[in-house]
Amino acid sequence: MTRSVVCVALAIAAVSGCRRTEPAPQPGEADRPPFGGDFTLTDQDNKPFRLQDLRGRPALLFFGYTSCPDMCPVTMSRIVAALRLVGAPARDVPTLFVSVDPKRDTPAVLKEYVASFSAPVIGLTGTDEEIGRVASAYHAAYEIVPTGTKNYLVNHTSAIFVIDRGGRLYRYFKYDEKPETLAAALRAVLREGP
Amino acid sequence: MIRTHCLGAALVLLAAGLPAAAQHDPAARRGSDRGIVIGDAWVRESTATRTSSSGYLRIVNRTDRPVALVQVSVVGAAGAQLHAIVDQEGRTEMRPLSRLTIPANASVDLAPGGTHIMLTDIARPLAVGRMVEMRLTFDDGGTRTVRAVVRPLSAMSVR
Repeated sequence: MTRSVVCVALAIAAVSGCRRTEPAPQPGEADRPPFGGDFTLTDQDNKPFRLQDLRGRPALLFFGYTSCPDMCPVTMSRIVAALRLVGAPARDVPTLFVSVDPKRDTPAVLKEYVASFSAPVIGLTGTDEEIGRVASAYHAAYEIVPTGTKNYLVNHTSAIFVIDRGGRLYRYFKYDEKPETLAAALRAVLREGP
Repeated sequence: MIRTHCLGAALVLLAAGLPAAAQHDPAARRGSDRGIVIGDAWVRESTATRTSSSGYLRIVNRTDRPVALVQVSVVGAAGAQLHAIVDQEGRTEMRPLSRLTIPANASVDLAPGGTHIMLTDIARPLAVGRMVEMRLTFDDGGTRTVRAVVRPLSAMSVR
């Protein structure tokens, strides 16, 4: 059985250092992770989506897949909890769910999935190359893991990325970060101007 | 994560099946037999296009010997496997577990974000509110059958 591995070493090194137990202070320019950036994928309505389309709104982003049995719903639950803590100002903050399983995660499948959560979620998919480029830009890694059945798993970077109004990466956290910490980062980017 | 707990007085009552305690926890009462109590069993919903899911429960071992869960099957799912979540420095991996030991007089939780039962190739979508039958086999040859409630995709606990 073969495994396809997409950008691994740098991603692991980068994401491993992100765990925080206290609300994150507002970083200065120098503290922002020097990666991330704009991208183009296809949303759940089968329309092109560019990060720039958010036009001054902050966003959260994580990599996952709809067949992910545990981690991705848990990540979404943390995000929903954080958004609730922030309240009304976070009402228009979308979560960008970037699929690392484009073979199964068609726009239609994503549309059904994102409707399951009580928060605005934009499901994004694309070609292997397109998703690989986004993962690379965010120093994320994923790999297909065959299970010996028609089903397969996808191991993937589990970080939650906080993106500011300008589309720049502000911070990233582990998927099981306290909602309070995520909320603090969200409040910080909401306070910023475009 | 697997959470191991010392068996407190409340769980002793629960495991013993005393009516006053057990009646307040039907899920635990259903699985109680021979010193092993299964409680709070639930699974996430699935759909026609998303045929994988996950299952969670609590196993209480009120015996003086460790016992290991070695096999799980769920009616309607072609595959059911114990999985641990391993954090490889930022990248999440799920690793199959061949057995899950519950120490003597202790309990283990299978909970979101930690060790869970992965269900695959679910033939009929698991609709919220449905009950599904889950069969657990232990290393002493004993089996338990519990009914697990189907909870929404976004759920984090049985309630």
